[in-house]
Amino acid sequence: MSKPEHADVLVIGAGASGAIQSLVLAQAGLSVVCLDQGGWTAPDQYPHYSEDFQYQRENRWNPEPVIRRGYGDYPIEGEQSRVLMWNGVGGGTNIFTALWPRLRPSDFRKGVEHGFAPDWPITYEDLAPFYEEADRLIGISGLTGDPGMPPREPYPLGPLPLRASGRIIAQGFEQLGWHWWPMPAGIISESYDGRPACNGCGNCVSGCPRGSMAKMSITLWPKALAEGARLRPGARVERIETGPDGRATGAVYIDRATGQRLHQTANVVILAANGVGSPRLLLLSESGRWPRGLANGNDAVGRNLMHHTLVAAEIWVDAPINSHIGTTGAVISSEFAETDVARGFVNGFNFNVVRGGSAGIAAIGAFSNRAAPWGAEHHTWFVRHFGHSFGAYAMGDDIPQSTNRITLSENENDSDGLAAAKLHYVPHENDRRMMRYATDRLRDLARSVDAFDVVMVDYYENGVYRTPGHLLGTCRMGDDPETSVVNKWHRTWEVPNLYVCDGSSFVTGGVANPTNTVAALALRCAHNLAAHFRELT
Amino acid sequence: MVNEEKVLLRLVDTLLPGGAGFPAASSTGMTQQVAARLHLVDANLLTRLAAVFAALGGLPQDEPGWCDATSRLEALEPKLFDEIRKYTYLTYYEQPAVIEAIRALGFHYNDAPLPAGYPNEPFERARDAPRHARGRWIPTDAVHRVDLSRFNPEESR
Repeated sequence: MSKPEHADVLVIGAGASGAIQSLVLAQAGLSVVCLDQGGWTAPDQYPHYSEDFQYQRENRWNPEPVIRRGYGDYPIEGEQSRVLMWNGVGGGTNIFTALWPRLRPSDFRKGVEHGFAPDWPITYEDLAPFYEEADRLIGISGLTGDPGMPPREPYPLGPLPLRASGRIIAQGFEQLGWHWWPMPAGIISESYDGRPACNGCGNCVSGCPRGSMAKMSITLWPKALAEGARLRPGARVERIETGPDGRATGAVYIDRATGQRLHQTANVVILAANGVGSPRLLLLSESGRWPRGLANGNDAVGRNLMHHTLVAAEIWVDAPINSHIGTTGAVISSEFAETDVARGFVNGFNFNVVRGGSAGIAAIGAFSNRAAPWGAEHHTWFVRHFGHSFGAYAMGDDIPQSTNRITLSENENDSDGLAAAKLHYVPHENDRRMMRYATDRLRDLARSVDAFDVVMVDYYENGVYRTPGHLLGTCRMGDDPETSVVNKWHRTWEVPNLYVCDGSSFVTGGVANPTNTVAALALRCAHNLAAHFRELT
Repeated sequence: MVNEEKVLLRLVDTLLPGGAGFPAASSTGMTQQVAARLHLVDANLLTRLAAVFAALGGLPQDEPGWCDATSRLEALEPKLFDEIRKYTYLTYYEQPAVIEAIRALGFHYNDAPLPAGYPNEPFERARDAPRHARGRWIPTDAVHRVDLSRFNPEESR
């Protein structure tokens, strides 16, 4: 087996966390190698320049790997819930919408608040400086002064255009007397860091080849490479290796271009392969010494999978709002974000109100998957509905449950013969209560804007729990080695030079889209590792 | 035997017959493209479709007959129908004649998202910023145990 040049740090996964870790550690003067099983998509390979961009969203650019079946993807057994991921350089930022809210202070304290989830081993205040740093590094647009969130530094960039679509949604919230705020986004409202401002093309959901969006392959990876980090796309890690002293020695990976197996050695290994990929790889790394999988002596790896809860409404209003134009995120409301037990559940939810839906997507149901009628009625439907819609998503904080988990499939393998991931997810009764309550509030919102048509989207349909597909909690951090996988610095309890830092590190999901917090955690982890690298190794 | 191509040709026009300024689907020349896309979904999909129509008694002779047969297809084979409808709609709305029809409605509508994009409409603070002071967050030290005595979140109801 060949051995490439030894590295100080091996990063597995080139998504948001992997890109940030590689950049910060390379800037600190460490030699960094990053492996990713997928490829690197060049800007001209995005669908934005092609007339069939809507069709591509249904296959090649589908956010779900089990539908997309792309070069870097692996099978995921279990169809109870959606899985949103992209296996390739940039990771999930290739297909996310760059909504950029933060967690709230109470999200870190659910153990104190109600005890159906543990506290994080860190507080909001611990993470806040890294949220600020991530915002500057990535280029975040927003309006400072939201009374529904803790005070913060001014956003690096002003808010994105609210447009007619955002204004009518805001009027609805005003009518109800509910909180609303322009959506913070990882999309630049002005030119920033050599990248052009967003031009409102309306296709955020398939990435952004302009570089206006926080897509790590365009925004951060060039910087990391300039700092000396080495990135190897098409490198599928088979297992993380350990030595006789129980420390990680590196990883064996398959060079997918040649089929050759290589052993990349390193002093420190950082696993950043997302909430499915990271536990999968730890479980694949089982051995006589680690019979349950690496760093899994307490059987915590893969457990406590969280997706966030979701119910939604597709809403049509009389006013022409050109909803095919502009960024996906329009308005956020945290009116129901904090626990109020009078509602009949703990935790809370946010409203993410979004635009989107070019003509074909609108016709197949942009936010609801309820297609427009067929036959003579279709065209009159289109004339009445197109350009008049928005989507309202109530996304909530689901209770982590040990039975919701990632395991290894006994039935399916990936294209290199490695066991696929198997996913089990069923929402907690508290989550169901919250979603029923949120559904009623979505109806309130539709009434407040005098909607002429509404399609409600339930959380369970055709045997599938419809969630945002976020992948959280499966290697969670904690203070207790018995119940967590990593400590507050993302070091695994059992392997002292092995780190896990991505969505799997989350203890609770909060009511925020996770990439902002993934980025902040990655910065915090990387700075700490850089500062203590010599003593660690 | 029911001819697969003829079935699809008539079916796309039954789904999207034209009207309100929009062309009939087949008149845009999209049928072969739909067939190719459906083939990628399932190489036997069109054969299955033809078999359904054969079972329904062959190809209808007139438009009402096609509408009736399509309704029966939708009821009998909902997943098959959903796939056909989805790819028919997506293909239709990328046809130049259909994009022109959308523009004729008064929309600024690009045939691909880039490179043109859309005109910027800068955020105007006076017009667009919230004026309310609503919103609540709980500082870390103020997070306390909530009163769970009146319900059990683990209990189904």
